[in-house]
Amino acid sequence: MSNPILRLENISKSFGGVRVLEKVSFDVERGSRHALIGPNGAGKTTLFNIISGIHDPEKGKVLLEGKDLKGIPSRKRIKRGLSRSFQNIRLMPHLSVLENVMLGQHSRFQLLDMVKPLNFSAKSTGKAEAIDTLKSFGIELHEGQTVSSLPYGIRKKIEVVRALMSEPRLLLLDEPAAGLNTAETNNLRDLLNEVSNRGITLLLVDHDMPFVNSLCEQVSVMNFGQLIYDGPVSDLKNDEKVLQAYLGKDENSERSNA
Amino acid sequence: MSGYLSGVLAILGINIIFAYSIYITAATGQLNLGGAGFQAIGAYACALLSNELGLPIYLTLIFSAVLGGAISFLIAFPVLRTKGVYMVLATFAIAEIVAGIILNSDYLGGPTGMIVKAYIETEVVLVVAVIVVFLGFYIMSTRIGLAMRAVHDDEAVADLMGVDKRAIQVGAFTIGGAIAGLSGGLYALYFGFIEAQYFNANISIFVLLYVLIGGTQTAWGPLVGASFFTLIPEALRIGDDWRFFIFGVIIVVMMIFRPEGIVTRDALERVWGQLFSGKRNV
Repeated sequence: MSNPILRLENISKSFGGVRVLEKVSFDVERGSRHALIGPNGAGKTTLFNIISGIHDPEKGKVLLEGKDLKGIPSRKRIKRGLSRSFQNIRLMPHLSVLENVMLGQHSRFQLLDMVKPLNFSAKSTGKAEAIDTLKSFGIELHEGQTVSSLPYGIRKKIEVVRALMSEPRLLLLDEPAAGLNTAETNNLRDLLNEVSNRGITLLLVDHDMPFVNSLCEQVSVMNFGQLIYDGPVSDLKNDEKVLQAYLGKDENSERSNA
Repeated sequence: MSGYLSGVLAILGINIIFAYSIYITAATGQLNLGGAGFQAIGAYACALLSNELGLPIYLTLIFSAVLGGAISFLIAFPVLRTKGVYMVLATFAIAEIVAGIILNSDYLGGPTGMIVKAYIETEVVLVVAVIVVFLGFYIMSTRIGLAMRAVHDDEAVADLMGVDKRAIQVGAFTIGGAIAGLSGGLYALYFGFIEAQYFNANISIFVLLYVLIGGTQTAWGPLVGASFFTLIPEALRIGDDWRFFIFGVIIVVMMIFRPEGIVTRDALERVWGQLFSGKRNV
């Protein structure tokens, strides 16, 4: 019997007169690496925003570990094991790398620990742990710098590390490989493999199909706000609907058939 | 200590305290242009408690801060529904309402002001200033301070990280109001006379400038900004009539070359790195 960590049931959403999502339903299995793909404007980021609580769905339910997230404000969803990164890097520009990563721990601390000075009680405030985590991901050289001065690839990595600091069970990644070169993408894949090996479920949006193919085993495909495929990545390239939506119709074969 | 030096130091102390009141709110991304209103609340509360009830000085100062904080807390909820320039206007309006109430109240002395019977020496102002500066640094060195800066940088992401941005903003506005009230109490006790006309828009604008020119990125900003704005005009007295012109030019130059304030985090990192040639994280 399946035990999804995330279940989406008939999610619909409109902005003004534009229908962005239409009865989208799929499950994300616990511990899996699940991709969400589709052409630009398909509604992927809107779906992410609904899961993370930025938008409310008009209809439908988001169930995290079997519990309906309706009425749970976005800031409280992180405590339920949900964390995310963003399509455009959204690190805090005036905070150092270490401070950005420490911000990711915020939901795990009680008020008493929050009023302790970070430099004098590094263990109980999580600072020591954040430094160790940065070291384990090989970013410690940059810990004192403000993030705006760092290369794009490193900032992407920091955003993933920040999302991990809340100890999530489900990690949403919105186009993590966008804008990265081949070496950076490979580096990111290694990082996400490591994350997945820790038992964290990954749900990621990306346009880089080789990256998706090499990382994920399950994929859901959206087009014009509707789900058109949900299944193993290996069967994706044989699906007619997906080929039409994502790659376009093969006009030559149509002509030759005619 | 000469009377002149003592007076300058007292004003410096009051200005530094006042600057931290605005800094605490600015650190969360909110611009408060109603500083004078909260300072007036503290000053009049202190004067009344001292004159009417004869309370000891430390109690009148504590009450100035508590009243400033309590009123800030109450108005934080409607005011913080506004953002950017609308928030600036809302806070400015609050200061005008406070001034209007005082001017039209016979009990508070109206436009003729009020004499304060108790008084304090410069040393008291300076000790309180040191405590407030320490408090400012302390808050910013904690996870609460980190959350405040995160709300300043990106409210939406801070929210998704689990930061209760409303609590942070209301808390900062309340603490800011309390510190402004405290600075008003010190002003009343040091100068021995208060009038509504003193707590005008100019004061609110100047204190905001202390913070913006000093820099909102670190707790050094208000200290440097308030000192700069208090001491430079005094140093320029030798320039006589030209001093305001020269001071204006200095401010314009600062805004061109240091748009994020005199003290920024990057500048501090560089200085720290050169002094200790080691790493400093937070």
